[in-house]
Amino acid sequence: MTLIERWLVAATHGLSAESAAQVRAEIHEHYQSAHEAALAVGLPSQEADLTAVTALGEARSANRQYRRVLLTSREANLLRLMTFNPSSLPPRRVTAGKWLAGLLLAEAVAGLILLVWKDRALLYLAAVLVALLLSRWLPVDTLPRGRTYRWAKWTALTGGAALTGWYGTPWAPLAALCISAYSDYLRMSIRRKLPIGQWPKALYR
Amino acid sequence: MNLRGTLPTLILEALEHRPDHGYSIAQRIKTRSRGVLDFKEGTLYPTLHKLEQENLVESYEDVEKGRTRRYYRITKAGRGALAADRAEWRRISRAVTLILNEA
Repeated sequence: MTLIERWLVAATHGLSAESAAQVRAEIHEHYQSAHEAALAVGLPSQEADLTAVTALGEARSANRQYRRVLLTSREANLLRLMTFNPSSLPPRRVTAGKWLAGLLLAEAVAGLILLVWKDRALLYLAAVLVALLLSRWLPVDTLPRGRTYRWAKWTALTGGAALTGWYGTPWAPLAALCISAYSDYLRMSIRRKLPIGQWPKALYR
Repeated sequence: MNLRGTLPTLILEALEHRPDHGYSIAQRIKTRSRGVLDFKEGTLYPTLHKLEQENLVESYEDVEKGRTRRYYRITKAGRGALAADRAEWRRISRAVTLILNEA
């Protein structure tokens, strides 16, 4: 592996495939110009290579800065999930294995409902989660509506968590809060990086 | 010398009169400061992306000597930000000079 390749591997670590390709293209272009300039002042090829790569600085530091402005692979995955349209998939044949998987899933859901029903605390949390699921049909497609939605969501989540915590089931609300916080952190990061024109509707939430 | 936080302003200044590509921007900043302002060239592009996200510069591709390059040009909002940065820098520079001259 050449010096510049090693630098690029470190500098693009954790970035989405698209972001990494962009970084590779611009850094390669920069490196070629720097390499040519070093050759032009009479440096031997190997030294010119070293000079061009050294001028780029520390790859890990560049990686930290790139992660602040370009989409990471996790953010790109979340964005793909937000824009996923199941109706765009080709029709599939339903096989016996899929029937069995469906049956097992239905049993798991029924078991979960039973568990929630028996535990009053979990019932509150389930109500908040159902409300959140139903809210996806609300027209949240502007910045002020997005802010209001997030404020309401966090009020409901923390309220639900406090209630369920009060009834003695702290792990479930804590898990829900952690997942929501992480998801919102990724969304906030994507909102900062993408121009508003490219936001999918789900990103306003 | 690495003046933290000044790179965006220096990039906007370098693009004030003509669009340019990353390598040339880096060399012009170093040459114009007579090598005093040194920065790691790998940090130039994240800063350019940030300026682009803030709509202060815009980019396009062009071919130079058979090589496709990404060029950056300053926007109207970028010129406004540059004017504000210049005024702020002069104000701070005057204040620091005053203090250092007292010593």
